[in-house]
Amino acid sequence: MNITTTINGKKYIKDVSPNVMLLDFLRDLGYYSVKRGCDTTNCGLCTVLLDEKPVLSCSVLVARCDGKEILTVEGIQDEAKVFANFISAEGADQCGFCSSGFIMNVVSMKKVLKNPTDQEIAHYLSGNLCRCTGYEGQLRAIRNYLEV
Amino acid sequence: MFRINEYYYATDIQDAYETLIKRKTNCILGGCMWLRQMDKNIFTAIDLSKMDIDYIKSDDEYIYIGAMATLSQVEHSDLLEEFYGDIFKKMAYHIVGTQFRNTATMGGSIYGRYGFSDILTAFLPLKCVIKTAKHGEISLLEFRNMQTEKDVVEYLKIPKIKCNVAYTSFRNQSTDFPVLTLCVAKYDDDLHISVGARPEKADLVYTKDEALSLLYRDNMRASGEYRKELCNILIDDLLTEIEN
Repeated sequence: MNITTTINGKKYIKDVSPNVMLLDFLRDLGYYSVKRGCDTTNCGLCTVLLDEKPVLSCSVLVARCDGKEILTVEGIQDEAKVFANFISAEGADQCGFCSSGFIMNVVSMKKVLKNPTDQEIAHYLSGNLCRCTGYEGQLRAIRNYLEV
Repeated sequence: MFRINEYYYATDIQDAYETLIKRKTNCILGGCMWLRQMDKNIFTAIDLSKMDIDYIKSDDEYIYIGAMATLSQVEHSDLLEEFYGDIFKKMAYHIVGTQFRNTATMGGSIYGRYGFSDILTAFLPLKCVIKTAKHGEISLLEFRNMQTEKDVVEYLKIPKIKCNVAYTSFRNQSTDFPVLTLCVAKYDDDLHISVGARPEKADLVYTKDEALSLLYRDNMRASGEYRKELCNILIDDLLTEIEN
């Protein structure tokens, strides 16, 4: 089946199998920031923005993305670098495997939540798991990034 | 892993239903959140996403939630909040994460009648009506009591009645499946109580004694005895909440 999508501003017209998940589709196109961290639709590592909303690309059939816009970390390099500086300033990153999905959800959160409390931040990001840290460093970095 | 032979965008509910019943292995796609965890052969996967049924809208009497509306839409709906307060925020609060709730659909959540479902528990006491391709409009309670069969959900409608209602769930860990889900609504002097995740699918009862006489079973999260004691306490909490 043929689908048309826009990924990071670039238009793709592709013949795809109906079995293909968005995560695999993106990686096949070279968007390696998108990672699979679990088998249970829980970890948030594969987060991308689909029509500006964060979704788990491991569980979205690419057939569902026909006519939609997809954004990965590769498409927001400048913004990602700004946030990454806050993360490194707090020493919050360790292995970094969860970072790209985490950054996508933080970028989405910045647009949705105005002056969020710690509880609102934790709730918005509860679908992003990190197994290296205790989330405290990330929370400090987010507060600094959002200036709250 | 699942295997899909062909993909079909349905044009309307009847089209989706007629395609569904053509073959035993045809399947309606909801949010697909559990799909990749299944070992399943699907001949025709039927996608409802181009049918424009992802609405939350109202007329004079009801609020309509389309089957493809996401849990996030329900969680953040001002219309639902106007009549039912924050119960849908509480209902969705612990469900996995923002990304999951942006994709999981109301139709899939209700059709599945899952034992762990916060969704069925929250909507069951609210005098809801569900419309499916096979049965037309029937009460959500009637739908809950049916055997699972091939059907397509079009919408769920909720009366625009301002009633006192409260919702809670108990989890061992935030974002885990619940140990118990509970919703209490009061219409004049009538109580509607739904208790889910026992771990049976949610059931509707009308008194606290009836709620405590439901079947509570053990699973890896809690014993039946523990669940029953939780229910005993949490019902009182919710009753106090709605009285206030």
